[in-house]
Amino acid sequence: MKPGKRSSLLNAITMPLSILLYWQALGWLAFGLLEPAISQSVGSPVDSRLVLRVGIVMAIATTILGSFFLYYRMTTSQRDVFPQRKTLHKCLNCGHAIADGVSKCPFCGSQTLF
Amino acid sequence: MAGRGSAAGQPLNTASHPRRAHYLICLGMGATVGFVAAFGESFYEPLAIPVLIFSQSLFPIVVATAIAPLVEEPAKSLGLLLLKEEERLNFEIADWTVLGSLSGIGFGFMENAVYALAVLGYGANVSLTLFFMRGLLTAPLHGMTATLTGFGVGLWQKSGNARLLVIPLVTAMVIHGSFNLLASVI
Repeated sequence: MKPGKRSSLLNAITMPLSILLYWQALGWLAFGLLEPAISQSVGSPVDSRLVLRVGIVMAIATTILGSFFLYYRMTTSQRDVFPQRKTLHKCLNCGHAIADGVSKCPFCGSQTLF
Repeated sequence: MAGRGSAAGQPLNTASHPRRAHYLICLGMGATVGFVAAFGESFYEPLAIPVLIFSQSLFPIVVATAIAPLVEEPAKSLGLLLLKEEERLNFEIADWTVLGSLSGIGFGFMENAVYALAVLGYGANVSLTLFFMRGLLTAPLHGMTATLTGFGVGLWQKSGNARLLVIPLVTAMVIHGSFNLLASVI
């Protein structure tokens, strides 16, 4: 029998993030190649070898991260979030506030659900 | 109206999926904020004036790495806030993240368009190259950070606990600031 997927809250962000990271990987390559030319044109030249090196390293890093998110998406399912029950009501015997659904008052011990 | 919730903020009916108009609202609101933000450094630069006392060269780095993320990240997701708080729409968390992505992409593209126009004086080829490069590099960055904020909005809606928005929002600010720091250092 095949085991079920692990549920995770972060499953929701994995698809957009992986697409955007792959997109940005192209951007880092473009940065490495185009930034020196742009900087030179506007009169503030940069170290083109450093920029290219940073561009390549970041492109690899973002591709790995994007692939990780894609893998994470395939191996997990979305976990649901439920609102916390915070409703309170007063004990009919002692008047202390107690959580909704509690059958016995923790202060006086009387039955609260009739 | 699909997916409307109660006046108290808690959803009454089951979650629906966003319609085309909702995607357009987020994209458009993101772009509007991006347009303002591209000029907006002049609005929020005064927040970093105390830095000038210590170092003049540090001033633009502080604006880019600390002040800009602090101002831009919450502003970027105004469209989502409009849909959640004003229209009281109820979506799945995954839908909120997609709406957030679109909001960030809209923001990034409009900001890039303004920056490209700003360097038009250096020639059309420089302007177009900058737009192309930033379209590949910073538009997805804004998309990623706004995805995290959208995730936070989704958690907030599902749980009814607004504090769950804080962690994704702060994470988005840290990512944005780190990116700007890297760009400033290079």
